[in-house]
This record gives sequence, C-alpha cells and structure tokens, in this order.
Amino acid sequence: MKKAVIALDNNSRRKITKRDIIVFVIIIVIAASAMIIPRFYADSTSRQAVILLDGKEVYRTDLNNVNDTTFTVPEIEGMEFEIRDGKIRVLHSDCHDKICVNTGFISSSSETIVCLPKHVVIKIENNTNSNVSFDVMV
Amino acid sequence: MKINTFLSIIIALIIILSGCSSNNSEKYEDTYFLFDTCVSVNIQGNSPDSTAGSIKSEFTELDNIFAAAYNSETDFTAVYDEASGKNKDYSSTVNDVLKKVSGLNEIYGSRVNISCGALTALWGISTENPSVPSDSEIKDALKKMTDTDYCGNDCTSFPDGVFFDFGAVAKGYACDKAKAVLDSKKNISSAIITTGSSTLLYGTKLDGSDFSAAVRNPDGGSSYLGVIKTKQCFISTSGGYERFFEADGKKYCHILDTQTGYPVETDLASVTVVCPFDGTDYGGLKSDFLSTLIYMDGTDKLESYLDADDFFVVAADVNGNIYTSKGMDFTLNEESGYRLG
Repeated sequence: MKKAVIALDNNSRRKITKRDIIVFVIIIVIAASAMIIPRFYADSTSRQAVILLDGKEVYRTDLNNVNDTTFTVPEIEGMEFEIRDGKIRVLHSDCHDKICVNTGFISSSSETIVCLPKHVVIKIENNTNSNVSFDVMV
Repeated sequence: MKINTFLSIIIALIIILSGCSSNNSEKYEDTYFLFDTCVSVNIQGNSPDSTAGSIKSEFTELDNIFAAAYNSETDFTAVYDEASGKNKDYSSTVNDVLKKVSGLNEIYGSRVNISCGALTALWGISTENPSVPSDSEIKDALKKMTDTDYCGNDCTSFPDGVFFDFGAVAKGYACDKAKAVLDSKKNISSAIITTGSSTLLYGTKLDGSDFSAAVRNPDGGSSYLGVIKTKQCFISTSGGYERFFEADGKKYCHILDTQTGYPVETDLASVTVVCPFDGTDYGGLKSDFLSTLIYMDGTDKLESYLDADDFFVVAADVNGNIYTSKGMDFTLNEESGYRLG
C-alpha cells in the first residue's frame, strides 16, 4: 500500500511536463467552449419571422433588425405582408375567409398566422425564451 | 509522460461527454395542411423525425378517409387512395369513429350528430360559396340524418342517402391516433401536436414544468384570454369566431344545429375543453365532441359541464365573462378585456 503511493508519487512528479499541461489546457478549453458557445448563441436576441408555403420556408427576416416595410413574396400570389415596430402581419390577402388578415400583428414565438386557403403560415422563431409565456395556442 | 497525457485526455473526454449527454434529445418541428386546417408537430426526444413521419402518414390516411366522407361517399370499404393509386378498405377506421361518437352520444345526448353531412354540404359554410338555403331544402337535408346509433353493431351498411360529417370529431380523433404513435415509441420525452382546433400535449417538458396553453381570444387578433397550466392532456376549442359567413347582415357560424338545421345560435363565444389522460383511447375525440356540444348548449347548461370531474372547461360568453371549472389552473390575461364571471 505504502509502496504503491510512493511509486505513483514518484511517477507523477517525474512525468508532468510543460507539454502535458499545454495539451491538458487545450482540451479543457475545447471542452468548455463546446458547452458555452451554444449558450452564447442562445443569448443573442434575434426574432426571426418565417413565412412558410406548404410547410416550406419562402421568406425569413430578423424582426429585431429590420425597418418598417410592406412587401410581397414571389412564391405567394395575392398576399401582401407588413412589418411595423418589430411585428408582422398579413396586410392584404385575396383569400375568401380573411382569417389571416383578421389575426393582425404577431410578435412572439408562440403566435402564428395561418391562411388555410393559401396554405401559408407565418411563425416567429425566438432565440430567447424570455418573451414566451406559453407553449401553444389552443 | 504517457500516463499523464492519457489521464488528461480521459478527464477532458469525461467533461465533453457529460456536457453533451443531457443534449442527446433532439427537437423536431413540422407544419403542414391536412383536415382542412394547419397541423403543427413539435416533438422532443431521440430521433423525433421518424416519429413525426409516422404521425404524418397516419394523419394523411385519416385525412383521406374524412375527405371521402365530405365527398359524399358512404361506402368506406373501397376508398381511392391517391398515394398508392388503389382502393383501400377504410371501414374499420370509420366504424371505430362512429362507435366512439355513438358512445359519447349515449352519455351526452344526440345534439352533436355526425350524420349531418347533407346539411353541411347544403350550407357550404367552409367553402368559397356559402349560401342560405331555403326551408324546404333544409328539411330535406335533415331527413337524410340517422339517429346517433349511426350504423348499429356491425356497421355493414348505412341507411340510403346518409352522409357523414366528421368535422366535430376528426381533429380530436387525429390527436388520439398521434398519442397512439407516441406511446409506441419509447424515446419521446414530450410532444405538442396541434390539428387546428384540437391539441395533444404529451409527456413532460425537459425542464419538468407543466405545459402552458394560451386560449385564443374569440374577438380575434393574436391576443389570448388566459393561460391554462396542465400536465399531458388533450385540449379542444370550439367557437364561431373564425369560420362563418355573412348574408343580409347576419353572421352564420360554421357549427350547424342539427335540431333546427340552421347555424347554431349561442350566447357563448368560445369553449375550450381539457381532457386529462384517463386510460381510454378516445380522450382527444371526447375533448373535440364536448367543446362543440358545450358551445352549442350555451350558458344555460354550462354549470353542469363545469362541475364534471373527468374534464375541465374554459368558456367565454358574448358579454365578456369567462367561466372555468374548479380545480384547473387558469390565469386570466388582464389585457384581453374579459373578466372572470
């Protein structure tokens, strides 16, 4: 027992070199950054407005970093969108029920605008969870 | 030197792996259009994409069955399936739906009668060209309904001229099917599946907290009435506020009253029903059925539904009052303009 401890003691005192420490530090840094970097990304405040046609993305913009504007999307005929004060809405639609227009502005990731006749969905992808007060609209 | 290098690599590997192990679980989101509504799928777990794929194919088949009913088919033993290009026998699924609805009719009465397909087609409220039919047309359509036994025990044949409209239960039934798929996979931690008016909240969220579901404000806009906190369950909402049409200055909602043949007249604006998992395989269908029924019945009969012990209700009336079942966690959104009645 005593012998073993001494042997290990001798062993480690003799073998730790500068190179070992460098290797150790590098690996620790890589490991630490692998854990920290995703959190850092999650902390950046971006709110992406995404327009989907039949489930496929046709438009994306960061609502935190865009000027007020009205626009159309080439893939979607007969619909006009508006961004104002970091919120997005359907300004005009030639669909028959106008549910999408009546939904008005949305700004948080738990809100969506749906146009059934045109198979269009607008959703917000939020990297920060702070504004989200619920998981789903029912 | 070699031992120490080796040791430091082992330690570093332990740190890296321990950092990753809690993130093995992946998230998968999908949005598509079926059941004449927007379906959204959100699954957390190991390989959630394959689970979502199973749910999508299940939903696609169900949509085909329900669409066949809308297209005035009553022979469900040979329904054309676009994907395979062949006729398929869907009678067992249809019988399953009819039996379950019939069972609910026995408990809650026959006001929600799903043999009203002819009446639905006559009004065409969810189509591009709805119109107010004449009284005689409505009478004829009502004659084409059956009692809520629907097709007896064996469902081998349907009475002549009867058309089904699964609208009051289709989305809830789809949520039941989604739960069955999730139950068959061992590696799903949580899922939120929304089929328009019905929602399945499944499992436990990663942080262990309850699900929070915001009830849509029937006055429109993106605002909400309040937030329900709940463990896994089915939730369905009915209201006349989204699908309706106007003729001669009168609003006609899409929910038809099978007693009068006209769109339902009610003093409720929206009804949300929460059915916790109870071991049965029709909780989704039940929540869908009940939200429609309670909405039709109005405030007169609301009290008895609020007192039920197997489901929870949030109901908003047309005067801005909200009524909730005892024992449910509902927080009013003060900005909605509604108050707790």
